[in-house]
Amino acid sequence: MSTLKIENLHVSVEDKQILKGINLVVNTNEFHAIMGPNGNGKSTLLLAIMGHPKYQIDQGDIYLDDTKITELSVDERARLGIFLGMQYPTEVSGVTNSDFLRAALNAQSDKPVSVFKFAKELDNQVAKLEMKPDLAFRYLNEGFSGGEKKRNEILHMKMLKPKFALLDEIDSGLDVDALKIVSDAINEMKSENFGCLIVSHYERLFEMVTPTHVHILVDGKIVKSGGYELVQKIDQEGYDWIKSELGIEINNDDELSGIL
Amino acid sequence: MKHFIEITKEQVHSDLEYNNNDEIIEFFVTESTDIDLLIADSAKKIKFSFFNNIASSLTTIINCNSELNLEYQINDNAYVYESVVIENDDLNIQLNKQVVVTKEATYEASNGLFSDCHLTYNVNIDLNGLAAQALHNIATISRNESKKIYNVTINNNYPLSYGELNNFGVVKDQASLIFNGTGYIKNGAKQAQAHQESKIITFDPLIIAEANPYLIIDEADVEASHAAAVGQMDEEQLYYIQSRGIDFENATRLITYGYLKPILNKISDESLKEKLEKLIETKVML
Ligand SMILES: Nc1ncnc2c1ncn2[C@@H]1O[C@H](COP(=O)(O)OP(=O)(O)OP(=O)(O)O)[C@@H](O)[C@H]1O
Ligand SMILES: [Mg+2]
Repeated sequence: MSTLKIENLHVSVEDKQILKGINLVVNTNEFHAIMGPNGNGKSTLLLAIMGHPKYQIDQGDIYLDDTKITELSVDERARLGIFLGMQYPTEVSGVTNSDFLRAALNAQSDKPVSVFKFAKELDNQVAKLEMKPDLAFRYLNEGFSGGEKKRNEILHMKMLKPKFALLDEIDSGLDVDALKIVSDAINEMKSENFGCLIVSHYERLFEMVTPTHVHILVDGKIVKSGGYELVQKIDQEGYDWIKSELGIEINNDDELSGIL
Repeated sequence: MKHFIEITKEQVHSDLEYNNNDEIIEFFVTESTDIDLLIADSAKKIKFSFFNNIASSLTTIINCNSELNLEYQINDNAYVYESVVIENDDLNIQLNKQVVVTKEATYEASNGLFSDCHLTYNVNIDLNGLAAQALHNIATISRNESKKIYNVTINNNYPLSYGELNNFGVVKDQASLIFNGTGYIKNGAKQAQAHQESKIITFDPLIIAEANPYLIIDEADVEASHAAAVGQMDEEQLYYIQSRGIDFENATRLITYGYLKPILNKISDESLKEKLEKLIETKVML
């Protein structure tokens, strides 16, 4: 068993404080859902756990088991088994998806992966995710559709087999069938050696990938934690009830939050 | 048929016909052939005359520490493609090339220059015949202390002539890189075309990098375009790559590789393309 522990995490971006004391413990074999209105710090939390240099940790620490990872670089964290499936995956021209994945796998193992084994595994996962086969050999994310990018993030997760996956709105842009495929792929990972932190706005995903824990993040803090009932309540009522129940103001970042 | 030429300070070894006098060593390429030209040193001008209608490749391997003067005369309807190769890192080279292309002939150069040498590369291409063509590609990396300057000039002196230059570069460490691309369309060169694109990415904001396009057009009935950009490497891209466990050094290599690779698509000759692809792979990904 492994544990990802976030202690009193304060994070700022370009001198603006975004996270204001996050405490969270995620064990392997657990799926944690994070919900919250737009612009309240969900992506910031995941990016900071992964170690994005723009997201400055002002206070607090992150541990993977006994290792304090707060000061480690992005790639060191990744090699310890943390994976971030991004809300907006970046395009890398000139580097094929497959070459990239092979480089990533080689980076985490002592000896180069067998080209044959790699090709077989990649083939297999691409087929399972029902991706168009050419996506594996196209330049990384370049010209991929929104849904294809998201599916590709899951492909990377499957190939790299992290201990902890942080998935940021992995369901956005996916059609109904793709959502089912991606959900199955996440569920298939569930084991003693895998834990997951999933950000989404929609119950639809959590119906299929059942979270063991649910957290609501508002204004840089986790204001409420619980079980699946929280997902249902948000789906039906939005976030207004939080305001009255907890007596806090919610900053709605844009009008998008109105339709959540 | 393949020919090997080696030029040292004292000697010329060649299985191709040539004249050697006080100032110039002149080779005559009378039939289609592949030539490997190795220059270890030369105080004299080295000239190649490519005869009408032939198709030839020229791989110019430079391994010397001095100023070199090369001259290519490409005659009617001939096709010549050249690739300059510099492997040694410890050189300081000034290369001056004069290229004359006549009626319906083509000069295509694709240079993958990845050594850490200091290099001043000057090429002046005269399109001196109806529908003469030149396509000049450079993919280069400047790293460590390397200083590289490329001055590429294409003169459209005749109607229907076509000139295109593409410069792609990556700069790292304390190195510097300058691209000066000039397209000059002479009066009367109706329906001539001059196109150029220069792009540099840098891995450090303090790096000296310039991409300067110059277009001088003295004729109205022409087509011309230029694009030049120097940009810093994309931080989000770097983060994304690193987030999959790849360290900074390898991430910059991947970005460099990906950046230079598309230039291969501009190369028409398949074997040259393959050669350059291998070179990029070994030089960048090692
Ligand atoms: N790189 C950045 N530069 C400037 N501001 C940023 C940056 N990243 C995040 N922010 C700001 O931090 C706040 C939190 O953003 P974040 O992306 O974490 O929100 P979120 O909860 O993921 O929202 P959404 O549900 O819309 O994805 C927002 O106000 C956002 O504008
Ligand atoms: Mg977000």
